[in-house]
Amino acid sequence: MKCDTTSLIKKILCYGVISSTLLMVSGTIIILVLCSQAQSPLTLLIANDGFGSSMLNSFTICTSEGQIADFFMGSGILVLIAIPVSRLGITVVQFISDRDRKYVVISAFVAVVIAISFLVIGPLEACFKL
Amino acid sequence: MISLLEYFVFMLLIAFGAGFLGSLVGIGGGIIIVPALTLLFGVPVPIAAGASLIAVIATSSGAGFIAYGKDSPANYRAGMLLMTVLATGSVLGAVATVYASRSSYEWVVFLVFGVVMLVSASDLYVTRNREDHAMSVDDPVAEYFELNSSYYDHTKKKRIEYHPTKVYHGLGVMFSAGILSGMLGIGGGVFNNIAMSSIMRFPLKVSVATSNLMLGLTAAASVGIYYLSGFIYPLLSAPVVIGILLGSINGRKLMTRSKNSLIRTLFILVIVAVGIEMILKGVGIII
Repeated sequence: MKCDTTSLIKKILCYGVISSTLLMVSGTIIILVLCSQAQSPLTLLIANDGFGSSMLNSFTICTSEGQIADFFMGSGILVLIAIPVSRLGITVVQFISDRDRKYVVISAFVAVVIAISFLVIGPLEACFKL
Repeated sequence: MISLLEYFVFMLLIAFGAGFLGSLVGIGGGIIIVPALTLLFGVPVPIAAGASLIAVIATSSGAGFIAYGKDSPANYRAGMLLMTVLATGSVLGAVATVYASRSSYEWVVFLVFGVVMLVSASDLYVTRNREDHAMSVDDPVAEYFELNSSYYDHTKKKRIEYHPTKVYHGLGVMFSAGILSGMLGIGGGVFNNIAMSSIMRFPLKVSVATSNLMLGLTAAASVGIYYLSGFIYPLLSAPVVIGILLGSINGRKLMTRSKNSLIRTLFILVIVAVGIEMILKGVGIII
């Protein structure tokens, strides 16, 4: 691994964790301030059993203000998921620039497995409830 | 009926405790947070697993930022090679849990989780005083994959060379670790270390650092399935992630200042107790 890649990955890890945490904290503060009278989502979470058509979100417990909070918290989650994926992307590029064919194939295989999870199995599972 | 504020405080405290204890004994908080959410609050397993996987990504990225660099003992090639089976297993594990939950086989997940907790406890007990060991056996498979390497040990103040072995065995255990990670929503660091350190004979420091590289990516491989299946709830994941991150930061600070043999022993006892409870729930003795 070359130094420039190392510092790039460090930056992604640092800014990724900080920004996702800030987004989640913001969402939490928003929902606590705007929906202070709302009930705990636990009852809905358990009653819903996770399998109902109505996905539990902040909107469920706190109408429109909850949507803003949900947006922040959801964005924080997406930023977090993107961190290891982008780290993998950089590693693949690094192996390509090093002309390390063996590890280009190996790291590309990992990328394909993750892509299949997000783009094939996940949507199939969501659509057809396998 | 608890209020929204009380809910957030409860979740933050539980996640803080999980992150704090986990970092004290060198494992992630997933093995604590999933049983806490399912046994204490009755949260369905896939939802608890989804929240835990998001937290695994957060802690692995946070720890990775601190540890990542030129001086890190992590073996990037070994990490990438092992990720091929970890990621595949993790995706299969997530599919298994989602399927099990939808078809009333959730008890299987409880049973497996309980057994995994007992195995983790025994590994924590066995490795409590383990020293690093470097092997000098040349393995043609390890040579082919260019896994032989070295790292600078700051405590011994010298460069340690190592030559891993039994690559195929390690890949087999890693595949199982991936399945468990995706299925139960845990990082699976304990199993990564069993494969790398005990079977493949990587030095402990190398296996811990490399395992940390892989945890986030393993979780990311399966989290997509939970996310797209609607099992990732921002309202649950956000306090869990914030709590675990704060807990692991504080746990790490304490770890550097204290001897943790007593904490480790207590932690092992807690894991054994919760593991037995999960098995009892799995077989239907506890509802």
